[in-house]
Amino acid sequence: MAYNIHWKIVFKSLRAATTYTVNIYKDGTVPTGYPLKLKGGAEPFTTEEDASEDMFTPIRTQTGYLRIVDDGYAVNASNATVAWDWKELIPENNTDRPVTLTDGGGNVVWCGFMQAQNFGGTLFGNPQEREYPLMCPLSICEDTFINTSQTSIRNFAYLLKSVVDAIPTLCQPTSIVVQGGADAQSWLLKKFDWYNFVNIDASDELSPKYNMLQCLEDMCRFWGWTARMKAKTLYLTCAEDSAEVNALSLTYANLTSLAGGTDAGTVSAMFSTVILSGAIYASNSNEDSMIRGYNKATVKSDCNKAEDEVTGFMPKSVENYLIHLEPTRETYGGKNVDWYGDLAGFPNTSLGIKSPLLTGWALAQYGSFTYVSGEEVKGNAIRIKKSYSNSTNVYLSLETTFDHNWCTDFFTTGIDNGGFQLHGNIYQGTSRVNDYVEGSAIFDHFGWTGCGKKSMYIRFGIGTDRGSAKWFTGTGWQSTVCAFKVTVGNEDDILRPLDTSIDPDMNVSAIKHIAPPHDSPLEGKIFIDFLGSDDLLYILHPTSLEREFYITGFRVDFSKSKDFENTDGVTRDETQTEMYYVATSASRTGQEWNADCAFASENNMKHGYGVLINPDGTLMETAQYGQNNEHPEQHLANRVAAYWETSKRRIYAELQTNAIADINPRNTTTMDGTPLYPIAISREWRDDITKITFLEI
Amino acid sequence: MAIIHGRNVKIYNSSGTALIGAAKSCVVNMDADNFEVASETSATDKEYIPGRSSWTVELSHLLTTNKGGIPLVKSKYVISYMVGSTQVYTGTVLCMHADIQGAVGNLATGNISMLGSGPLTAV
Repeated sequence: MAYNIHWKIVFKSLRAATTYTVNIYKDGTVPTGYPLKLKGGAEPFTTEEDASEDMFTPIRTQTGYLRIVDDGYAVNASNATVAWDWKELIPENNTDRPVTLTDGGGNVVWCGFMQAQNFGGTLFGNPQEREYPLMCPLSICEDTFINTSQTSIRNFAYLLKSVVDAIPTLCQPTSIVVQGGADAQSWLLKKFDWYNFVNIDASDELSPKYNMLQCLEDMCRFWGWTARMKAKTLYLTCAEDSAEVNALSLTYANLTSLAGGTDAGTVSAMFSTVILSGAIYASNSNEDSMIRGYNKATVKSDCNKAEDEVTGFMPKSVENYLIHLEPTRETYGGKNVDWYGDLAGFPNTSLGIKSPLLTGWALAQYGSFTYVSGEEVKGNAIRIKKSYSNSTNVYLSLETTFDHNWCTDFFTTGIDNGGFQLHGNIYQGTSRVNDYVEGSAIFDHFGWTGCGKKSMYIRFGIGTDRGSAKWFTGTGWQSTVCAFKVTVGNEDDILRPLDTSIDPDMNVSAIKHIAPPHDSPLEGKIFIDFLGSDDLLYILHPTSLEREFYITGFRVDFSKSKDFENTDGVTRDETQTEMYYVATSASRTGQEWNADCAFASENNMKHGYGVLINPDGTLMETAQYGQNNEHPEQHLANRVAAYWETSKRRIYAELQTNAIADINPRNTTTMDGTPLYPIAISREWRDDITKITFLEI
Repeated sequence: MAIIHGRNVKIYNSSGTALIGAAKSCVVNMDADNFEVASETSATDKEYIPGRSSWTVELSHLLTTNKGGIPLVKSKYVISYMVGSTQVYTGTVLCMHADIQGAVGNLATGNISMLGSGPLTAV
């Protein structure tokens, strides 16, 4: 746009020191006789800054008013009086009428725009005083949305330049003063993902998420600045410190340089993307919260700045990280870039991600159970049906005894209100090793459909509700490891024992593909599916069709293998309590590294597990999934990405989806004890693929 | 400005063709709006431009020429100010107020307030 002065108002300042001129611009050629000199009102120009008392207000904008007296005439450039009325000044949009206020020396002391709004007034009656609202240049940024066509990686200087560019040239800041001196420059060079400001719909269509004023506001909030304009200078100051101390003063050209221009290829950016794919569910469960791994980890890296030669890699200590990447050197744009890259062939140098097999600690993280291996735990009640008389809470208890191949230590809870007892007969192999009186049940109106000549059996499942429960089929459970047998009643009861000879719904003979609930979120329910038998029906008031069944003090013990896979079925020393997530092989294509991953434990994938052993026989200190509230995939991606860390390059990860608006430099995150700026990059979640992109800053 | 005596104020009908009455005394009030404008030359002295004007007339001791009576308030008349037999000002007025008094043996007198409508034209 080519703005030219079409109208002006000249007035003397109160102290007579200066004659001020309000210049009102319009796009296009100046008509003959223009600019017209208008009559200013008694207060021709007033402005007021946002007076919020919050010292951390990120944006302080200004409003104002321009007032003229319309007597039907104006003075043209030849000092002749010509007909004119106030309607000519009404803007069509917010940028249609830029306004500058200059002092006697021609210096701009304020600039902004006449705000487009509904104007009312006497159309032809004059004289009359008319008032036009004004808005400052920052406010105009509200009308401009971010450019969604940019590449994903940008720096703060680019964002700031985008804000400045959103202001029409006439009122554009010619100087940007940033508090913080040299630090401020480094802040402006911090990179982030431009797509944090972009909405991406299911069709990959991009739409702006924020207008430029919101972007500036978020940036100011992030760095703790307050933005305001004074004349044609944009100030980014910090309320906490003395204003403008050690300020960095930038021209527009400086800012353009810092922003890296408009060519994304020249922006210094190195980032890597970790794509985790092929989800593995440790217990064949469809429950996300059960332990999960990925069959493949793919690292993609990119370097956009050819001159950014990187040398002097210092590998992060291997004990902390997982997939060992050997440094390699690539040449981009004639420059050498050393990557801490190539996944070395497993098992020589690969490390694994250690995911703890169900430990008390781990289990405790997932729900209401306070689980300690070998100790009784009382958690949520299991309520089959409402009790008619005794509403004693029902406790589910789980115990795992790792040093035996069968369940032990069932306990007795007595009988409530004449209920019958449940016996847990735990077998080792085919030999019953003990009977356990492990609960009591009160019954009344027990008359379920299906109470025919069938044995009652119990099956165990895990999940959040019965409908979606993952039933323990027992697939892969070794017969020598565990078995369940449940009876109801006993010989001494008035109620004769039920026929409970049917095994639980478990294939106790299978020895492969063990799928124990080893790390499942047992805060869920254990479902007990009682099917009535004719015996049961006989025992439980056979004449009634409306009966309820209630179990109190129910307790289940089970033992299990701690291996994820136990393919050979050999009885082992089950002292191993942890399993590991390891890279089993590695390959590389260009800048893409692939690692095939698998679970490993002492008894499974021994060759993989072996690489986790230090020369002295101790386990390497591997980071554990579960730290810092990470999801497993976050953990893996973090670890993989963190391995790229070098003395010169740091890769920081921030895994919040909404980056700028939610982060604050005062709230740094910590990775390995090093405070980090939480600069978010991008993340993509799918059902079985997780893609996390990291960026060095 | 010549002295306009009360007796020289004449009231005509709205078309200005029929003399209706004359006054013994009269008062003419004239006002104008003003707007302060930003001064290009003075920092301390206010500067104004005129706005619209208005005028009113107050008459007393009206002598009617129409013994049948005339409509007063809400009626429009043409008023003329005379110097001798020469008309010097004329304009249209609306009668807004009339206070008529009469007594046995005397002429009826009264006070009438007129609101100028349009310009008071100097002839």
